[in-house]
Amino acid sequence: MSFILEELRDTVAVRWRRELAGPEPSARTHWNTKVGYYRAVDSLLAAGSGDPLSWVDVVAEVRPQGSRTTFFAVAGPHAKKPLLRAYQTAPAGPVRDIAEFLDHAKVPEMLVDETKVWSYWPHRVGWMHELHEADELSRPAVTECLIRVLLDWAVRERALASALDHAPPVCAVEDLVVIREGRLSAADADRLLRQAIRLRLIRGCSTDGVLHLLRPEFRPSPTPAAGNRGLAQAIDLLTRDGQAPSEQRRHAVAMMRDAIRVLESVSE
Amino acid sequence: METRDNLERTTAGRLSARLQTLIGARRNVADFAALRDEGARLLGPDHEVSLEIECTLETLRDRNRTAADSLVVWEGLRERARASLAPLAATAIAIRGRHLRQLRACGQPDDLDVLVDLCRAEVTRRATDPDLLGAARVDLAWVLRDRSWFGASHATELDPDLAEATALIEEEVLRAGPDQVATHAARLVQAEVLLAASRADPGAPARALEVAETLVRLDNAEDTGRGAAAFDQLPHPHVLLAEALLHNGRTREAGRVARLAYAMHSGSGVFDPARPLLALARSEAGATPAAAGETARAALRQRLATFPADSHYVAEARRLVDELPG
Repeated sequence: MSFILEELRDTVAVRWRRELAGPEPSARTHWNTKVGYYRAVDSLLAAGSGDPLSWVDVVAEVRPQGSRTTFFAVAGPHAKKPLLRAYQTAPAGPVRDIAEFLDHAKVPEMLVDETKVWSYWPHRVGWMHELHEADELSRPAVTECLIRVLLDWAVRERALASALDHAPPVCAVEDLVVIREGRLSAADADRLLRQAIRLRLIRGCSTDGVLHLLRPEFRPSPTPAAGNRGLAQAIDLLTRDGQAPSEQRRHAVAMMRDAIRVLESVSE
Repeated sequence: METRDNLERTTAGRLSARLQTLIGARRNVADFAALRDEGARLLGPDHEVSLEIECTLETLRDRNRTAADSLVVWEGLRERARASLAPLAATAIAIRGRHLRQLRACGQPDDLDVLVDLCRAEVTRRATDPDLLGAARVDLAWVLRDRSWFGASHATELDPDLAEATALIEEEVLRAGPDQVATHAARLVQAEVLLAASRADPGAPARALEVAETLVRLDNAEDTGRGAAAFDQLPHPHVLLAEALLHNGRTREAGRVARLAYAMHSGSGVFDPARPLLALARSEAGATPAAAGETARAALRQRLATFPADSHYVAEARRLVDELPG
């Protein structure tokens, strides 16, 4: 797991944010300007006035004051260091494919995607903190934690999470691709996380209910040969040293007699 | 500059994500306790995230203390949640749910009416939110079943509680959405209600058997999410199947399934480990009365070890011991 953590500490999104924001709390002017626009988008969506979101609305919402010039300096293809470009310039592979999800025709939509990443970031920091503290976790367990954290964010930031057809923050898509060692395409990672958010926010599923539905997609199913493993272990424990208490032995004998009767009555 | 609101939102998001990761990673109580302390220090003890962490922590601690001790904790949390959270906040609902279950676990006959009143209030509270209402109606059906089953009424007619419980749970099972964890939990309550109705309704045993067989098949075939909070205190499908087989006169099979249920679900953390033994004793009563008496006494000992001596759970086991020979 330490290998996954190393990769998660150095994703495209992490490098992009580190370069723009520097250490927290950030004193960098361009980053703080961007955050002002993210807050404006977040506020408009929360107020239900973001359908569709126009650059004029966003500029009007920025505090203390926005402008057309700064809007296009923080958002869109000609912005200074947009997240889109960070993914476009990543090495070829599923992580670079994430750029497709950010490449909207409308600039305000590109800003919404970056706003999702900004809003989700404290959740990601908390997730990474606990992954670092955990002794050893399997990749499916790390994935399950990621989905739990994503759904917690989606419930807290319902309007923002619902925007752009429930698109997940692209940094979470990248994290899932990294956890799955690139064996999952960016499109499949996006589909899985988007489905999780939809099930939680539109279909009213609990987090446990969402995980139950999606677990087959990220947890391998056991092989048929493993079917008798539990039985073998139980028999081994019962018979190994003859120390099982008499009541336990009595129940065990009765259960095994029942089972033999049932198994022998089944025709081949 | 970050405003106070923004800082709080950032801190709450970070701590809430840490909580979800602790849950997903199945970490131990000490880790949740440390996070609870950090939440209280950074956000205040009655912030929603602090209360959510505390709710998760106390749920874990419930496994290692009596229901009466837990109830005191949940009464305190319920009051704090009432004072600082919106009534339909997820954490407020979770805390009221845990309080309800601890009250149910105490098994006091006088509380049967209180439980029904609490569930009716919850249904009223959630009436405007269809996503939240279903679980409240399932809980109401469950406590109505309890009041009928454990209450004074052992009539051969379907009493009003059971009639209402049946109507509620049938509607909820039919209304099931995509959340299979919630649906599975509702069907467990449906089986409970049908088993209780089997005393008076001649059509109930066959329906109970049908539902219990489906639940066991599902349980064997897939992960049903039994670790989820929705399953707290609900019996395992094998126990329900054993009881349904008994109601349908299939005594030998009932004994076989009850033995399996006892072996599979008698470890720590099981709400009522004695329940399969009660079914087993009833299955043994005809052919081996002495064994049945012994099994019933084992069930009584188990219930005394699990529930307060004056609880209706113990009274039920004691009645069976008295009914069976020596």
